[in-house]
Amino acid sequence: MTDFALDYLAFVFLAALGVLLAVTAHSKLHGLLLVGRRLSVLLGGALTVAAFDWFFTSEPRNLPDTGAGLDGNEQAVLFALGAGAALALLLILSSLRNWSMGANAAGDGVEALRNSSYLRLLFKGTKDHWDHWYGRMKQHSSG
Amino acid sequence: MGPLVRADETALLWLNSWVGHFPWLDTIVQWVVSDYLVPVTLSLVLLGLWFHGSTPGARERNQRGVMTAVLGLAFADLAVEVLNQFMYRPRPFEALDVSLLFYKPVDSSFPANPAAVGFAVALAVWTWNRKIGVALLAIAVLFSLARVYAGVFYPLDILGGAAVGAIGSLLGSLLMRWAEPLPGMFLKLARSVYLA
Repeated sequence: MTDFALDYLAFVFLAALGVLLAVTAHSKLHGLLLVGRRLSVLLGGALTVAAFDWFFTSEPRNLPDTGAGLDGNEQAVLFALGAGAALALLLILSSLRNWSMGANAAGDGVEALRNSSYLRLLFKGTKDHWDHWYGRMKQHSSG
Repeated sequence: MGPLVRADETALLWLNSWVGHFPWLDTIVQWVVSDYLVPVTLSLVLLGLWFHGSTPGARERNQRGVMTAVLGLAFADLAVEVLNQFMYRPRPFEALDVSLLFYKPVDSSFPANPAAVGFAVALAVWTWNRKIGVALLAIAVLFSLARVYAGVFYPLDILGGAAVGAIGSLLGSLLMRWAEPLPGMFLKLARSVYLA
């Protein structure tokens, strides 16, 4: 991977992490918060602005995609990688931080993260599915 | 086509003639025309939109908007690729004496790919979320104008790109309706792992 591609990946990772911090805090998804809600919005905004500032002011970035720059497909793949890594990091860190919230799923999907920790919800969901499946298998085999 | 092409060139030369008059504007335009600033901004807005929403219903509308935008973007990109196989219009800096604020791209000037991408995403989101859609449309217009100012595209290339983007977003919307219940099933699957 070229230095430029690595810079782009780091830029996307930081900017995406900032956006996720700000948006999840604004949407009151308490299970995904790393710090207080207001601080999270501020921190997220600052991280995104800092990422843009670093990427565009540290070096000339108007490079042709036939040279050192990235074409559309490369950009799409690197964006998915960077944003995916940012989301994964947020889910893991927020789960550890909010572990005591438990898995009080009072809603469906993302809505459940208003009052629950992501990994605990995921474990509970997986266990429920397994118990349901195992129970049905047992019922079939005995009947 | 003669008068239209002449008017196109005149409009480009007028806008590009301002280059050098306001150094601060040139610096801003050099950032805006970048291959990375607006595309990353649009993508980050889509990422944020996926998780944004005060109610489950509002969030689902946003998520459907994101899915429509991705489909619209794919259609617009494909249309530009296909059109480029059949037509080639030289870039303004190849035919006219313009002040260039960008590197020299080698692909066809018409239709403008950045305009197609920007308008496809903005219009697709607009169909689901008017407020964010209007903001994205403003970004797409700014991106397009900056590319003309920088001497990389003619105004007609931008209009052609915007039309391709609009058609792309329309096809994206139609596919979302036609493919139902698949989008609903995708959202249900993502909800089962608490990611939608």
